[in-house]
Amino acid sequence: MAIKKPKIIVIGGGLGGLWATMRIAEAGNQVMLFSLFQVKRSHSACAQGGINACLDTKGQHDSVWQHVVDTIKGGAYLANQPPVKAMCEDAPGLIRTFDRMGVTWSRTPEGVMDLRLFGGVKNKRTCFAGATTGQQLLYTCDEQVRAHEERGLVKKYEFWEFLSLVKDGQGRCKGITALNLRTMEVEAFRADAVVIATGGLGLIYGKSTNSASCTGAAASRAYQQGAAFMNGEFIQFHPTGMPGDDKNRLMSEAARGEGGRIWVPRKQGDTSNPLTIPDDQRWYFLEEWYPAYGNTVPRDVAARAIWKVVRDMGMGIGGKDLVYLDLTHLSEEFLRRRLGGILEIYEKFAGDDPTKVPMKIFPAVHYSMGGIWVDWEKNETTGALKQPSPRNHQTSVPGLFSCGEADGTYHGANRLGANSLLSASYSGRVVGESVAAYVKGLKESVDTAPEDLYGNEKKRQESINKQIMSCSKGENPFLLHKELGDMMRDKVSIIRTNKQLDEALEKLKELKERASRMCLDDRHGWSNASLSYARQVQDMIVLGEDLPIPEGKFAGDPEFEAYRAKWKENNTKWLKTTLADHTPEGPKISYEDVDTSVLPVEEPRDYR
Amino acid sequence: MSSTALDKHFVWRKLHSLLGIVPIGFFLCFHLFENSLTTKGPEYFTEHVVNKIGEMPYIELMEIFFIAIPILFHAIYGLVIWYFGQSNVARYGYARNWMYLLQRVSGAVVFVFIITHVWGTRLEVLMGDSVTKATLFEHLAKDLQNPLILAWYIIGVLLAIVHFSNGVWLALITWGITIGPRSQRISSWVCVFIGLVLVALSAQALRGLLAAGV
Amino acid sequence: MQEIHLKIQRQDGPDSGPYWDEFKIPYRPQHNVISVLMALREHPVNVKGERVAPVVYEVGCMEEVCGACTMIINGKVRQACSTLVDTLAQPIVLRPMTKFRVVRDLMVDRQPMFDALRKVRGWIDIDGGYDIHVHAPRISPKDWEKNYDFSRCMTCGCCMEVCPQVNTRSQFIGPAPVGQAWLFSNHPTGKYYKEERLHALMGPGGITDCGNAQNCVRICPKEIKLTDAIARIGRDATIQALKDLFLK
Repeated sequence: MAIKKPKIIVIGGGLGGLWATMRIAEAGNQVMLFSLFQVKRSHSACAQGGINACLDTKGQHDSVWQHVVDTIKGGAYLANQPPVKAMCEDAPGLIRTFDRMGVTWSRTPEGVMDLRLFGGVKNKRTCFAGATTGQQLLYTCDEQVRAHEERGLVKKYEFWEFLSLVKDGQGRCKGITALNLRTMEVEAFRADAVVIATGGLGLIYGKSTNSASCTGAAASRAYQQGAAFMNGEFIQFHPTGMPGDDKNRLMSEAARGEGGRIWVPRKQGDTSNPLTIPDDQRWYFLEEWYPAYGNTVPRDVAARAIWKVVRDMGMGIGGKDLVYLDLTHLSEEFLRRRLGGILEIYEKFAGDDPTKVPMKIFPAVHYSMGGIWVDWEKNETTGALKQPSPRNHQTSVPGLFSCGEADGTYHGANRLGANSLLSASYSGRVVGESVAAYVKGLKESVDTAPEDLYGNEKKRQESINKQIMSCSKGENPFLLHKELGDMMRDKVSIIRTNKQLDEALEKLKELKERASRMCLDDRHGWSNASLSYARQVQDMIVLGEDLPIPEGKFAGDPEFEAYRAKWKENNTKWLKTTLADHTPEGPKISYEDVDTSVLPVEEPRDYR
Repeated sequence: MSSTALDKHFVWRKLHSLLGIVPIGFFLCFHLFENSLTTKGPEYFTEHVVNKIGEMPYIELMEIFFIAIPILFHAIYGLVIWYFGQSNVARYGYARNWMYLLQRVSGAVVFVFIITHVWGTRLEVLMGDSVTKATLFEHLAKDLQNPLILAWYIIGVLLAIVHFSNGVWLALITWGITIGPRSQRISSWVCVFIGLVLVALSAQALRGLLAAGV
Repeated sequence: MQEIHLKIQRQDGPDSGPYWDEFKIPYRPQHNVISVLMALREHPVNVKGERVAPVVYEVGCMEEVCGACTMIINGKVRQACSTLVDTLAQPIVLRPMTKFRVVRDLMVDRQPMFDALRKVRGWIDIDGGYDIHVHAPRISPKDWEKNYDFSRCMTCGCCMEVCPQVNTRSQFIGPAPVGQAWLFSNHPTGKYYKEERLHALMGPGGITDCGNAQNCVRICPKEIKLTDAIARIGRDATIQALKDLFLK
């Protein structure tokens, strides 16, 4: 007997959360959708370039298989392959569904979807909507969820913050507690299943390309209550960030895809006007080092190359942490049409017109490949995923699911450009279907769960809030966060040494202790943003401990010949998924084999 | 918001807009045209304009149903519309925003002007003690010797013209004729032209009356 | 310029009265209004030397695509993240938007805009979020361009703020939702529900409540051609009214 009217909670209203909500509601379930703000303002809106799917409409004989290979190799073989295969196979169907939902895909002259080239691949495979693809996909899902809201299937809890899981005696997730960000009251909610779709954790690094909400706090809370965290060490540094005071804004990879060239002056410390530097005095180091892919090498390769040129060789513009990303050789009309939105961003925030002056960029923390560990069920016939299956995207806490950037399934050690919108949407869809399957198999409704489960957890959360609110002398959460970010950017960066990582772990311990003595300037009981911030900082620090994994397994680092020789040896040692389980003393690290049943690990990743 | 066909709010708004053009706007044009004939002298005007119109069948009914009631409705409903708006030209001083305010102010002023104007002309004739159709021209010409009345007439007529010309521009948008910025720019020049023609006609009328009033 | 001088209109809650607070923080190049507010919350000390609660504001992407940080800066409504301090006269005066209920300080409640999107059926109706193995019908590059213009609307509320017809007395739904209604009706399958959208906009607070002050199109940070949509909806509403009169 299936239970009547299952209640499901989705936390996070970006692409993943909205897709999950849609699919769960479509199966006739009631969804409570929690978000820190109106879901339309989620960070998915920031993705500019596009979403990968093999449509093969450009006469290049592109294939789904090639997409699978690019994604697996791009991730340095460190993603379990069946889910990746399933994602790439389902991508074209996902794009068609988006198309029907009304996404304003850019069009060819004959009115069909256009494709563009992106990093790490040789074929045009990236569907895009101007230069605001993420925004367009997010809004379209927002609209679909609004329709479900109108139909009475979805209830939004916007301006609510997820605080903790409510688990029963068997460790099953039976609901959540959440903080009303207006009244600052804690409330407990019952749910037959919970989905965490809360995105990335860039704010652990202080400044990143992420939105202000991408703290990883929600993932951290789930982690602290038993959800294993995987591959925390894999943070993507976007090669082309615009360094800024409040954040590092993103210059889309599309700028390279459409023909942008990266260079530095050959003369060290040269500060002269870049337009006056003749071509033979410019060093196009990516084109020189990687002739096959040139400027469109994958992000990690580009970021490491820039790091090497700037930090190791001291060739940054004027000796600073900057290189040129040059579009000025392309026609203004072409650039405005293809890259309008992202050029505007540069003009707005840096004050220069990138069609006339080369942009100044440097790698910036951008995406977390790792995330909450989730299960998956293989379809033995196809080698991809069995769908639907309640196992798919279920975390190590039964009844708790995760999708999007919050989980760590699809990208291994490095995510290919335009694969994030794909994994967010795809995993959201999959998680929606698995949740629907999961609640169908439940014997007992959450309504029968004892009330004190909820009452106790609510009290526990209230006491944490009370402690922060009643403190009279202690740490300032804003300054503490800054300290955390500065330390992480310094020690857990593009190139890491074990010494640095040990120092980072030491510092995190210290910060964790200090964060337990947080004190606020804001004493109001209404809409107190500081309280919510303080709690996020506490949880960012705890999750931060999952990122500096010593002996970091950078199997993907193409350190040329030395790397090639060590390739096989490294594979036996480091072809693993890192798992972190929370203990009060810090993460307990273990390793799990990677499923490589789709593409044998035979060819090193090499973009030369 | 109701989804029934032809909501009454929609009908009232559309009626308000329509009446401003037909019949009120048409009447304004005709009225200014006939008055410009004052330049031909009091005799001609009384005979060919005042009397001709007075001889028309059902003239009182037409005046009530095609002029008075539409104007009353347009004016009172217009004041209601004004009440539901909140002008902000101080902060956002764009030209169109000023026109938005001017449309409301001019409407209200013109309403008062029309009341005084109709009182001083048509109603006094109707009551027939001091002014008759035959002496209407003379009466008005004499009134306009008073600089205050003259100023009031100039303000009233100019604002009526502004209100009408801008109203045409607005109606072209709200009824769905001019959509894009280019077509709206062209229509704004057309409306300025209409306004200037009406100003010219009014100037003629004034000239005729002032010349005769000596 | 050594200091940034801020004057901020604050409010402790929706029902309490507004008051002013002034701050001075050290100048740094490339500061925008959000980064100033961020710096301020680290040391929230006003010019009187009092340590006060950090100013509450909404912030999201900091790239002007999410619309969260909209506020009135030196008298003009705009996104705080894309407002560079170097382009502003001092003191920098920050106020919450006036057309929405203030939640606290610079944070307002824009829920009415989202409710409006529900009223105008702001979505494309589909059978379900699964593949049916066909694409949506083709869309010409010209139609795409028009639609894309409107699909970038981030519900920030600038157009609502400057619209004289949007205020506490009136029910006017505002320019943004009208633009969205037009967008969905211009989609090859979205137009199946054009009539429903038009009827929603033909009631009180609908299209006829637009006063054509056209401030919306001047202020829109994404330069969306809102007045085009308003005029088109006006035309469609006229035609719909005739259909309602004669065909029903």
